[in-house]
Amino acid sequence: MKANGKEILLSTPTTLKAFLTEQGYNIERVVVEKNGAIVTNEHFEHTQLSNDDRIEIVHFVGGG
Amino acid sequence: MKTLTLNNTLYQTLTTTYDQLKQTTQINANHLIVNGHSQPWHTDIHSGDEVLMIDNRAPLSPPIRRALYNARYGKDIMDKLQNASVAICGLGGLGSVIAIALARVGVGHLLLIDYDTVDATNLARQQYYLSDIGRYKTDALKAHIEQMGTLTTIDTSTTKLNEENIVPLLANYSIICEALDAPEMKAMLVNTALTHLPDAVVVSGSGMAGYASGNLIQCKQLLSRLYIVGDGTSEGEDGIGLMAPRVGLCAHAQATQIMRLILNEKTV
Repeated sequence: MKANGKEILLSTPTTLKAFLTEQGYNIERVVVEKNGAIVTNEHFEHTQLSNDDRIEIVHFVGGG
Repeated sequence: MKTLTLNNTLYQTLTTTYDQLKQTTQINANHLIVNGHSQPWHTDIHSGDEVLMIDNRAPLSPPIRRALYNARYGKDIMDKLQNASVAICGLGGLGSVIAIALARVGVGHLLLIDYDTVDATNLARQQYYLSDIGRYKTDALKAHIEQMGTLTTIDTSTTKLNEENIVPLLANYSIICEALDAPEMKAMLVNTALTHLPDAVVVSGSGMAGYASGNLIQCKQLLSRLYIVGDGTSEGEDGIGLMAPRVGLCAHAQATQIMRLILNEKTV
């Protein structure tokens, strides 16, 4: 799988939610694109990742 | 005898330079625009010239302001800026600065969105004054921009953005500026806009607190319709907090990218 341009090998099937949590992201503070389409956070739990996927994760920090 | 258009009226003259024409006509002016470009007064007169003689020591009418903008940037660029509409979500240290920069550069229309009122702590970095305390930020900022003599029309919405109102509020805007404070709100706005507004491009701010090097603040295109400006890491809520110079730098970098998008420059 590719996440933000980096190759990652998934050893077991995983959901997007589990992947983001494991990578240390706060799922309320991210925008995620999977294979070119936005996945909103209510769908993270039901979105399966496979080694063919390409995801982009944008995380926001506060201040404005 | 030469025939020219002088301050929008046909005029015939025997004089050879604009110095002489100014003396002959006794027009009180200190700025000369010939065929869309600022020129020195000793410029020769040619038949068919379109000429504005302007006194810029007094407020200028909108058509004269437009002519000056055209002379500065070129008419094609000014047409694109004037035809653009930008929605600015959040009018704090980012949004208030961005709105002013876009108005001053000549963007035709802005929608200013914020639910909050000005308080005394805002004055450390936001574009408000003591006399604004207690006013809605939307009303205060609109009033300030209208005093700037720009060519920008302004709509306001004194609303807290949520997943339901974002689409109806922003449906007519192809450029959306995210200038909110809380990271959850930033993510919610960007997610909703990119999912439900297929023509919208979002320019967002993330990471601008403290006094680390200004060179760390960059604009990156992270998705096809999402540009993020900031250092990506400096949080406002813990540590040193938000400081006017660096927040202003991020704001102007966002405004710069918005200007580039208006002028069809899609790269950062």
